[in-house]
Amino acid sequence: MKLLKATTLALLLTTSCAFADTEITYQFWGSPQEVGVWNSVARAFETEHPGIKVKIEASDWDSYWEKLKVKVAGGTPPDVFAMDAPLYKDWQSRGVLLNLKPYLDKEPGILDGVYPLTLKAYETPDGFYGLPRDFQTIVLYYNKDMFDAAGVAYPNDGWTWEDFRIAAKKLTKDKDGDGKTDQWGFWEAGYDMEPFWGALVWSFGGEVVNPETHKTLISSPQAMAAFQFMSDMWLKDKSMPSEQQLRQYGADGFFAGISAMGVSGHWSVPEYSQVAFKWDIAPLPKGPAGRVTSANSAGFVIAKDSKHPNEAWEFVKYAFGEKGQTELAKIGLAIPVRKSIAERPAYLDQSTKIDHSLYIKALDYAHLKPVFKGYEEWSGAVGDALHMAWTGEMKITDALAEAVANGDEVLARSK
Amino acid sequence: MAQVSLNNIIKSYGSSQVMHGVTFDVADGEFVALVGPSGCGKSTLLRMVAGLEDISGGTISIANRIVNDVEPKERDLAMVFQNYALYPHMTVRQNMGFSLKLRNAPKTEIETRVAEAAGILGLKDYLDRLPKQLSGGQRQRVAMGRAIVRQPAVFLFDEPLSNLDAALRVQMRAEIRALHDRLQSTSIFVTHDQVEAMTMADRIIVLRSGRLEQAGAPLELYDRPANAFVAGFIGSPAMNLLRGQAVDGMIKLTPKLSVPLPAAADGPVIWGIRPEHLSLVPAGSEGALRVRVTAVESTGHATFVMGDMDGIMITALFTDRPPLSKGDQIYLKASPEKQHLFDTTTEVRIN
Amino acid sequence: MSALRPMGSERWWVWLFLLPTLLGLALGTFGSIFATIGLSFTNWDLLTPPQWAGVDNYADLPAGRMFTKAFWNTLAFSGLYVPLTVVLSLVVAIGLNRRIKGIGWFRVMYFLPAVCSPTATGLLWNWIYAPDNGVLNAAVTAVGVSPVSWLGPRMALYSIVVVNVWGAIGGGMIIFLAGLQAIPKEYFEVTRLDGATAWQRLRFVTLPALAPSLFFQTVLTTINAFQAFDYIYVLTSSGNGNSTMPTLVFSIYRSGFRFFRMGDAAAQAVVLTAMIFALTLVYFRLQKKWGEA
Repeated sequence: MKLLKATTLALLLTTSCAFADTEITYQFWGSPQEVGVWNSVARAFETEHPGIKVKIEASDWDSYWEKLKVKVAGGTPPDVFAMDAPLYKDWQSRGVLLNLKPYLDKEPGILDGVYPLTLKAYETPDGFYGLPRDFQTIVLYYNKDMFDAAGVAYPNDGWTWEDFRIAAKKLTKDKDGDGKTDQWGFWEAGYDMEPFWGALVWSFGGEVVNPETHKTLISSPQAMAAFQFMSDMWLKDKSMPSEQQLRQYGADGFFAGISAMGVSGHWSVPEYSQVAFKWDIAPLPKGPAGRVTSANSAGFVIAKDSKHPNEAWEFVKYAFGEKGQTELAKIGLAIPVRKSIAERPAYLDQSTKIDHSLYIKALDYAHLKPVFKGYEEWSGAVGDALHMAWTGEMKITDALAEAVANGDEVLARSK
Repeated sequence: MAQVSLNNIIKSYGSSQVMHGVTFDVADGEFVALVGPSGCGKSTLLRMVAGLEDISGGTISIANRIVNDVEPKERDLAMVFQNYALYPHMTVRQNMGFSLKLRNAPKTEIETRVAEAAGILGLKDYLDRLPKQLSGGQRQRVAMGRAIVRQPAVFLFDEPLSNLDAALRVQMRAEIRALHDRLQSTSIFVTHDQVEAMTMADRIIVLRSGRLEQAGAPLELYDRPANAFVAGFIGSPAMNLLRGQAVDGMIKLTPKLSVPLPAAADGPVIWGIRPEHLSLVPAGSEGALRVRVTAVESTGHATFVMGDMDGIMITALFTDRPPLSKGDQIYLKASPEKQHLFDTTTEVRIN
Repeated sequence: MSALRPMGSERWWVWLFLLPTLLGLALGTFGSIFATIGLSFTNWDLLTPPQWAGVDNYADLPAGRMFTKAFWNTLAFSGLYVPLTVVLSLVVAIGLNRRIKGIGWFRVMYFLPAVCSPTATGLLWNWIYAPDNGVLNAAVTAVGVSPVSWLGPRMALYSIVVVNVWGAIGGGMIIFLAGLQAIPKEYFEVTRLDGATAWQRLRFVTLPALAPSLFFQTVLTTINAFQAFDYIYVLTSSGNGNSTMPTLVFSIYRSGFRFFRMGDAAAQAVVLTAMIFALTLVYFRLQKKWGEA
C-alpha cells in the first residue's frame, strides 16, 4: 500500500525530472504556507546565484519520511532535505549524508552568532553532516478565559509543578453539569519525551537516556517521581483527558478549547492564533531540580549522492545565512537559529502578540532533546510501554520497568 | 381414491388474470397430459396442484379432499422437474432416499424402497454415483426414482423430457408410460410437445392462454378437434386451416377457388384438412384442387409437399414417394369424411 | 466444457497469449514474494546494503514485544472476525434473498459500508465509541450501566471486530446473494414437496449449493482479516504511530518504514503470509472433504 505508492511516486519523480543543468531539489515536511515562504527564499537565492534553480517539494510528516527513505535507498535522493535533529544520527550513521566540513572550513565565521545548543545536535567527531535550520523550545500555554472563569491566577515565573498541578485541578470542570468532565486543567499525549515528560523528568533531577552506554534512565528515583506526578494528575486528579476522551475533540486539547493548559513549542503559535479564546504563554514551571525545558531543532542536510553538492551547499549557506533566516522567520512556526535574527523584530514582532522572546530565554535552561541512532524506535518502545500506565492498564512502576527493558533492547540493537 | 379435481381455477397476478376458470378431473390411475403452447398456463396449473403456487379462485381436490390450503408435503404427491433438481452433493442413493429421510422413515425401509425403485429403473449399478457422473437419461431416471420411493398417490411431471435428446426422449416416453402402467397411480404430465401427449396420455387436456380448449382421448382430439386451435395444435404436420366464405354449399377460398361444404354453414368459415388426408388425383378429377409445388421434403417414410393454391399455402403428406419436384403442377383431393369446418369468429367446430 | 479445451497446436497459441500475463505474475507477485523471503534473512535498513543475518530475524521474533503483541492480536481478531463475517453475511444474504418491496433498498443499505471510505466511516465509529459524548455510552448509561471505554485496552479488540465485520458484511452478502440466486428454485420446491423444515432446507440444499461461495468467501475473509488495517488505524492509532490494538500489518509497517528494520519487517511479512497460506490449505482440504461428502 503505502510502500507501493511511495515507490511509484519516487519512480515518477525521478523519471520526470527535467535535467536543467543545475537544478537542485529541496525536500521537507511542511504545509502549503511553508512552501510559499520557501519558494520566495528559493527565488531570492536564484537571483543571487544565476544558473542554479531550486525545486521545492513538501509533504506531510509521515509521508515525508517514507518518500525520503525510498528515494535515498533508490539512489535518487533530493540534494538538500530537512532533518529532525533526533533522527539525524539514523541517517548520518548510515553514510547517506554529505560531510559539510570542507565547505564550512572555507567559510570562517559562518557558525558565529548561531545558538550553540542548536549546533550541538549536528556535530560529530569528524565534522558537521548537517546544520540547524530553526529550533524549538517548550513553553506553557494557558487559556486566559478559563483561568478568569475559574478565578485562578495566571501562571508566572515562580510556578512550581505543584502549583501547576493545583491549578490544573481547579481548572478541571464539568461545565454543563451532565456528570462528565468537559474541561481539563492540562492535556498531553504522553508518548514522546517532547514536549512534556522529558522536561518534567529533567526538572525533577532525573535523566532520560544515555545513548553511549545504551541505557534508558527513566527508572531512577527522580525520574520515577516525575512520572508518578504525571500519573497522579492523569489517573488520580483526572485533570488530564484520557486518550479516548481527547479523541472526541481532536488531536490537540488546547486548540480544541477543552484544556486550560498545554505545553508545546513555537510551532503551535500559528495554529493557536486562530482560536476564539484569549491565551498567553509562560515558562515551564520549576521542579525540585529547577526549571528545565527541552530544545530541539530541524536542520538541513545534503545527500552524499547529490549530483550537485556545490550548488546544494550554496543553497544551504544562503538559507542558513542572515537573508535566508530573515525570510524564514516569516513562517512563524519556528525560531531562527541566528541570534541576529531571533533577537530582532523579524522574529520578535510577529502578528501573534505574545512574548516571543520567552522561547529564546528558555534556551538558558533547556536540555537538548537526545540525538542518537534508533531514536524513533526507542521513543516508540518507551512510549508504548508508558502508554499502558496512562490508560491505567499497568501501574506506573511496572510500565516504567517495561519501558526501560524495551528501550534498552532497542538501544542494544542500534549500536 | 386419488382422483384429482380442478374446479373453476382462477389465477391472477395483481390486476391481470392469467387463468380463467379451468375445470377438469383426473380419474384415479389415469395418465393425463396437459399440453399447449408456452405461456398457456399448463405449468402453472401443475404447480397449483402441487401446492407450489397459490390459486386465486376455484378449488383443487385430491382424493376428494379440498387441498387449496394444504401444504405441498401434505398433498401426497411427487413431482419430477424439467431440470430434475437432483441434489448435486448427494449420491443417487441419498437423492432417492432423501424424502423418506426427511420424514424420519426407518433406515431399513428407506433401503428397501430405494433398492426397489432402483431395480425398476435399472439404476442398481449407479446408486453410489453423484448426479454429475450420470448421463441425462440416467439423471432423469433418478428423478423418477426419487418420486417413486415416495409411493405418492399422484405423480406430477413438469416437462421432464425436454432436456433429453430426441432418441432418448422416445425411449423415456415409453419407459414412463410403462412405469405408470405398473404403478397404476394417477399421473399429470405437462408438455409442450403434442407428440409426447399423444403417445403417452390416456387423456389430453389442451390449454391456451389460461383456458381449457378441449379435453379428450388423444385420437378423439385428432379426429374431432373441438375448435380450430386444437385442430392446429394436435397433429404433425399441422392441419391446413383455410379461411373462406360458405355460399351455396361451397366454400369460396379465393375468387377462383372453391371446395364443397362438408356441413351446412353460411358466411365466413374455416375449412380444415390434415395433410395426410389429401391425396394425389389426376388432372380434371371431380373436386380436384390445382396446386403448384413450392417445396418437397422427405423423411424417408413420409413425403411433405408444400404447394401454392391460387395464392393459398397448403401442405400435403404422402407415405408413398410421389416423384415430385418444385414447380410441378399437381391436383389434390380432400377425403370428404376427414374434413373439418369451424366458425371463423368463435373457431368452434361446425360439423 | 470439453469443447472449449484447446487441442493440439492450439495449445501453443494459448501459451503465447498467456505469456505476458504469466510473466507479469511471475515477476510481480512471485518476484516480490521471493524478494521478501530473501530480505527476511538479512539485516537491511533501506539505506545501506543488506547484510546476511541467517535466521536471526525469525529467531528474534518470539522475543519481540511489538511482534508478539501484534501476532496474538491478529490471531484473536481473525478468530472472531472470520466466522462472524462469513456467518452474518450469509444470514443477511438469506434474509434479503426474497422478492419483496424495497428489498433493493435493504441490499444497498447493507452494502453501503463497503463503498464508503474507511476514514469517513472510521470517524463515524469514533463518535459511536467515544467515551463521554459517544452514542454507545449514551445508550449504555441510559440503561444504568457505567460507561465503557470501547476503544480502551480491554474492549478494543471486540469493538474493532464489530466495525470490521460491519464493514465486510456487504461484500460477503453480495457473494452469497449471487450464490443463492444461482440455486435453481426447483431445489427448494422439491424440499417443499418432500416436507423439509426451514432448517433442513438450509442444511441440505442451501449450504451445499453455496459451498463454493462459502469457501471462496472464507478464504477471502481470512486474507482480509490478516491484512486488516484501515479501520484499525483510524480507530486505534496513537500519537506515536502505534495502536491500542496493533496488528501484524501495523507492526510490519512500523518496523520497516519507521524503524529502519526491513529485514525484521520482511520476516514478519513472511510469517503473516505463511499463516494465510496454511489456513488456505486447511480450507482447501475441508472443501475437498465437504464437496465429496
